[in-house]
Amino acid sequence: MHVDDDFHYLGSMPYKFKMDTEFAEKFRESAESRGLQSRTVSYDGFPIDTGSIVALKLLNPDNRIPACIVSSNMYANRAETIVLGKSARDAIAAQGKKAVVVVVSSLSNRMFTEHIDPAEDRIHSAKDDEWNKKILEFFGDGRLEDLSQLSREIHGQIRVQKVVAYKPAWWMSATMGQHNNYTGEVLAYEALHGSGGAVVVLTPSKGSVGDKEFDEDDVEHYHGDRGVLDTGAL
Amino acid sequence: MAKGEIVLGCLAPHPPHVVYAENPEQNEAFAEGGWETLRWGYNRLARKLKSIDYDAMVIFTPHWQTYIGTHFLGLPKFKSKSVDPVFPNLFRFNYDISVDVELAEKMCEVAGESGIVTKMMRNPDFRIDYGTITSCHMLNPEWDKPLVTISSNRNAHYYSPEVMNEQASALGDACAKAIEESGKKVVLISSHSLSHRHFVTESPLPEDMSREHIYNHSQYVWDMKLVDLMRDGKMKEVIDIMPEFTEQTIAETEAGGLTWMMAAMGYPEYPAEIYGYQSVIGTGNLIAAWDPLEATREIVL
Repeated sequence: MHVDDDFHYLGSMPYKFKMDTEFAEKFRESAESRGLQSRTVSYDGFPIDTGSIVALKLLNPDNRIPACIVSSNMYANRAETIVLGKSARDAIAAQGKKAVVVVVSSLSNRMFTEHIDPAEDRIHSAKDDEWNKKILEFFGDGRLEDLSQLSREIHGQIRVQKVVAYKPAWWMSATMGQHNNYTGEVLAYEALHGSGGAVVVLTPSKGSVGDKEFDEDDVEHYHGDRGVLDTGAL
Repeated sequence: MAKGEIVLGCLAPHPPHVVYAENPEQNEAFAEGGWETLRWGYNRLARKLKSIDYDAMVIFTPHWQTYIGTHFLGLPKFKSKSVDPVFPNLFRFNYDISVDVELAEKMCEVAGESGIVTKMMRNPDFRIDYGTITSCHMLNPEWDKPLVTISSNRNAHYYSPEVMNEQASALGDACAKAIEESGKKVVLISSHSLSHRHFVTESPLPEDMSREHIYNHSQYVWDMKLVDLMRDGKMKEVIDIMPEFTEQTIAETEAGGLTWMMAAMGYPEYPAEIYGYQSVIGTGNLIAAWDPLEATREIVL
């Protein structure tokens, strides 16, 4: 049973999920082989988060497909997140599985800071709305890697700074192969207490749209923080 | 009815490691000890609390994070298991807690009247956060006093540490007024460490004290700066530099707990009682107390 910290008055969320523990172990092993610190968790009462519960209950209501939930490392920035995505891809390939990749995240995440009548819900600001629509345009064109490259800009423009970066596009693109070859479908876009919520599907395809000039590093193995201050010193 | 009062304020860090190391029957994990400087400090403060007459503990926790106002636990009993999301290997605690709902409602009401967005939490399935459990267990292992748990409204995330300071101060003022009107004697608890940069790996034996040290010297220097100001009774100055401290040390003070407690206590100008300072997975943890009564105020360390 789960209860949300903010929206507890909306009721309790009972859940029972079927997990693919064999895949989780392989994912952990792959992450460690690429230099990441990783562990699996198997304890009665471990708290599953609101985002995972909502997504799994709505996308996979009868538990037909076993799931694997991976945490978001608080301190991780782009390099670790890209390498984590590649680790997931390694594990999928090693086990010869067909997998559906799910990221649970809002677009703009500024909520109203007071209680509102749901009938009066709207995106918090015109700027957030405009950016959300631009992101959805990219998704609609299947431009996932372009969004990954824009992630830092998106974080600066429309993300409340409660975490260090907007990681979902980084992880999703790295897991799915770092390109724009998708057919994109935006199934829904609505305000969620002021934040921007969208349901988007990306299906691998042949064509590619966009392809910005990619200027971010493409990291294969995580070697820890770079000593830029030491190496760059005169 | 006599006016209610705050009889003690406690800074009570909540690394689950200290509960793990104590091996209480409620926790499933077993330890060979560890973090004695902190635990013995806690034990001493718990003994002082035994000598004080009070009705309830009011705790402000960074691990019940709310973005739409400040929330208060609003049912008389909560019973379940709390598992730490980062350290499930250490903390799987079966709790059975009592809440002073009357006092919580009073605080919610007075805070609401002062313009703060508030909400009572009345879902019986709600899981109590490990910060509340750790701090309260270490201060009162018998669990024989009711609690009021206050969520931390994340103003530092939405606005800035400066706005957090302002709003946490307003909440502290409102809670002090509510306590006065309630006629109750209350212990306040601000549950958090000071500097809060963690190691990103864990030693094979978590209680191996040969591995434990502060994350870096900068964090240590900042922590000691705060300890010195607390010893000197300069709590207004501590709160004034809180935004800078919070940003420099990634501190859990970002949640507003210390600001809330100091505002409620009128920014004490008397020395804090220092019970212990020790690092846990690299974070800086201080146990301190503010005793408004000069006759019982001690120099502990």
